[in-house]
Amino acid sequence: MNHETLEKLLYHNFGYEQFREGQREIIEDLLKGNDVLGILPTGTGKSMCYQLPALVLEGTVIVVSPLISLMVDQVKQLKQQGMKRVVAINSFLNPQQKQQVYTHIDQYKLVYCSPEMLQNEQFLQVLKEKVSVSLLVVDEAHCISQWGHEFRTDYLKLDETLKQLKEPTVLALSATAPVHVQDDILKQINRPEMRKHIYPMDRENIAFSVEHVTGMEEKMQRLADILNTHSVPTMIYFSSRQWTEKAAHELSQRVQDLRIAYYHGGMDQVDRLLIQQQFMNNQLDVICCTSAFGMGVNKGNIRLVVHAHIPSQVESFLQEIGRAGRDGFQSVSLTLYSPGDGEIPKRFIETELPSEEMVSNAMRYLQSLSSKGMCIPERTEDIEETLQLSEVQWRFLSYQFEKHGLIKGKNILKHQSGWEDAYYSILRFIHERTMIKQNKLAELLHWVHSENCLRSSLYRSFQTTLKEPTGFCCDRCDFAFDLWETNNNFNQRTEMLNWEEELQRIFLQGGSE
Amino acid sequence: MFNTLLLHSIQQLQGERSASAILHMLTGKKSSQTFQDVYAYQLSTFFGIYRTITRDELMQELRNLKALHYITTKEREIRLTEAGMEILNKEPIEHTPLAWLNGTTYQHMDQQFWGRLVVFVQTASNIASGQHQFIPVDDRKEVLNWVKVKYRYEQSNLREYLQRLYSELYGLLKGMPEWIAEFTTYRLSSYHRYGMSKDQLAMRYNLSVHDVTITLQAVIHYLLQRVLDHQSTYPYLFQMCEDLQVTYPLTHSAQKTFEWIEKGHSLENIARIRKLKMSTIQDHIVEIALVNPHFRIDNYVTKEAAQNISHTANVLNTNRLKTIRDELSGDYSYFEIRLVLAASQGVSNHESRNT
Ligand SMILES: Nc1ncnc2c1ncn2[C@@H]1O[C@H](COP(=O)(O)OP(=O)(O)O)[C@@H](O)[C@H]1O
Ligand SMILES: [Mg+2]
Ligand SMILES: [Zn+2]
Repeated sequence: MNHETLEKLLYHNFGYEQFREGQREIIEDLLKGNDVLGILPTGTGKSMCYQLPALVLEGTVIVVSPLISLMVDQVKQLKQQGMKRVVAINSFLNPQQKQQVYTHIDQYKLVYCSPEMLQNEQFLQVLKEKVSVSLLVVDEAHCISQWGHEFRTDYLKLDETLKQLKEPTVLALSATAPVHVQDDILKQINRPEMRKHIYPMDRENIAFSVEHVTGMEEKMQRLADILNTHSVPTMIYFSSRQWTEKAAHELSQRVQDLRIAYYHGGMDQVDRLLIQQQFMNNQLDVICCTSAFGMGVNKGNIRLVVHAHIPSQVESFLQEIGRAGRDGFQSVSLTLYSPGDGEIPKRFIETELPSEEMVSNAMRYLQSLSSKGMCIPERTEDIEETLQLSEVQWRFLSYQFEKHGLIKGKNILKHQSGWEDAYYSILRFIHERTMIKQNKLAELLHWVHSENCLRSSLYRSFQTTLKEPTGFCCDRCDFAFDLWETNNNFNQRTEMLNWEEELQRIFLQGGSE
Repeated sequence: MFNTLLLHSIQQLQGERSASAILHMLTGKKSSQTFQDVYAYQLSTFFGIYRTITRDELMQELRNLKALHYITTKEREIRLTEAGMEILNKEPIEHTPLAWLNGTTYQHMDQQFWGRLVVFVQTASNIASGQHQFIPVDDRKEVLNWVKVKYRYEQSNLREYLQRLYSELYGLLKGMPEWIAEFTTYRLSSYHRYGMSKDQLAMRYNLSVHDVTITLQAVIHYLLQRVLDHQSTYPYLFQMCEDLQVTYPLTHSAQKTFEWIEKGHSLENIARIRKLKMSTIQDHIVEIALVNPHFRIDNYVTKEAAQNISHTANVLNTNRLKTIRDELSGDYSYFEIRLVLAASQGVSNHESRNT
């Protein structure tokens, strides 16, 4: 297939005139049947690398994606663009809906699913019997690697799944994977010959600034000052749900002209949708959010991304600032740091994986079940309740137990010796993981305190060369908020009319359309 | 508003039920116990009106009421204080949108109906103004499928459809207090903007998020009641809920039992055929007696027993089964007592609603 044809396909099916950096190269490699590892910055259009091949390839393209919201957004967007033969399968579908999808599975070109779904016998059987999988895509592939920032144990069985699906071509995609993570990905899915397409991730239109303040009160003051002089579309990240709410209310009072709201994972589904779409639709200017916001947010004109709390590692930080300035115009990343801010992510890291006591409790629990001739309870909520474990902790443990041959599915393998060996090995692993994470946090903290160019120290571990910034570099070099001129009338307000007129407008009645 | 609802419920429950009963009422728990409670204490209109509230959220609200000295709690017993009573007297629920609520009748269909209305309006408004890119604000599959089919059907005269729907909705909103008409309008999404979130509405109208949820629910029930009672006046809105009606709001299993009874089977027979415990079948009978005014309980309790039980319940002014049974020196089974109470509460409830 020549260049021109690919370009035509792009235009006719997605309405884009040309490929972005990396897309064509990856697509061409895939169409030749080569496995590809693609590392491209957030927002550059990684999804296109499999969406377009899905139109060309015979058979089905499976996309494994770690976040349900991410899949749902993508499917929605594709349907909007007119691609109908796409579906997302996840645990939210009820049995009838699932059955319906299974029955018509061969009518879909693109099937999104979670890694857990791929372990589901029934689903795998359906795939094996009814379709031929031409391409398996691993989105957010850093989740495969235990060195990656979002290690997900259920990704580790992908090599087995590939075998069962008769070894389709593989495309692994990630925005943030340093070299050792890249190597690990190849190893874990057992495709050492993968073609690597690695693109630098520095964003030349984002300027960096880190300000040291005394505490939350000063952060709010600073935010209010900046927003009063720079009324631009802004995202502000916080570490907790409570803070997003508090900050949104407080800033609404201190900043008169801007429309400010909060977003976090605890809101109900409809409200999350409304707030996200209001922001995309320029009905909101500032959004105070947790890291739950942003996945799949495609808003071109976000000018300012603030971290009122730092995340736990550089990779997450890069992903979050990557939402700024997708339209190419000058944008800013501001980090507000106060002494002790590292404690929040530190505690998070310490409690993410199970403690020594939790591991030994869990093992004793399994042994006592097995001595009564019982299996592991069907409902994982019950186990988590009994053992006082979070969902992540139990998922982690059950994977570890299975890996060490202590359990298989819901069965406890009774006569296994080696419980003790497994215990120490698991503890060692937890310790190691925790250390890695602590180091990653230290790396980010180091950057926050860096005296030299913020841009070059931020990207150091990811790439060797840097692009020339199109505008400002960073506050250590040339940036200050006073120097940054922004267009403060960036959007036209739709004023709310009184209800009778507003209702007419909604229904396109009367003279107000 | 949510506070008023809680205070009213606590008053009705007379200290005879715990916070769990309130939670089960709000979330619409499908159990015979909850069905009986809501009828016995005349709270059936609140059944299932806040299905997403969590136990923690409810407990937090109750703690707040306690801190305000509107209620007292002793172990699991909750009662209204003088101050709480006063609040309730100052703002009786008949004067609030809470009076529009009718949980037992509409809880099975309210969210579907509203979802259809909102997404259809959003879809029609967008497409009729030439905009084809928008994200439906309710992404439940059942809702989207319904809208899709409906849209295809109405596609060719979208403008007219919008105009009809508009005048029906306008007439209904016009009948509400001004602020609620505005509240409802701002919640809708259209071609020119996405609707307001609950928190945004709460800020604008100086309400709590719980108040917003309840108000919205009351609006939906208001619409449903008008539309279903005057189908010919609101044919376009009626199309959005016509297929969602069921005759009596029974649990699925009780509905099955009811069908067997209609065919003339005895309770023992039904228990055997359905491989269920006798006590479960009895629960179903009580449930049916509550919601179906035409259901005859004579087949299961003698006239004399019914009279004695009713009389005792009235004299003692209680719904506590054990108290009634003890007073009647254990002559009647719990099933007989529950059934008699259910029938009188259910029917009296229906009668009072008609006046
Ligand atoms: N060639 C292209 N030209 C213009 N826009 C594109 C192109 N390819 C993708 N996009 C758009 O870029 C946005 C980001 O794509 P996405 O796949 O979500 O990015 P990533 O996964 O790399 O973060 C989407 O809105 C997508 O439609
Ligand atoms: Mg992506
Ligand atoms: Zn610099």
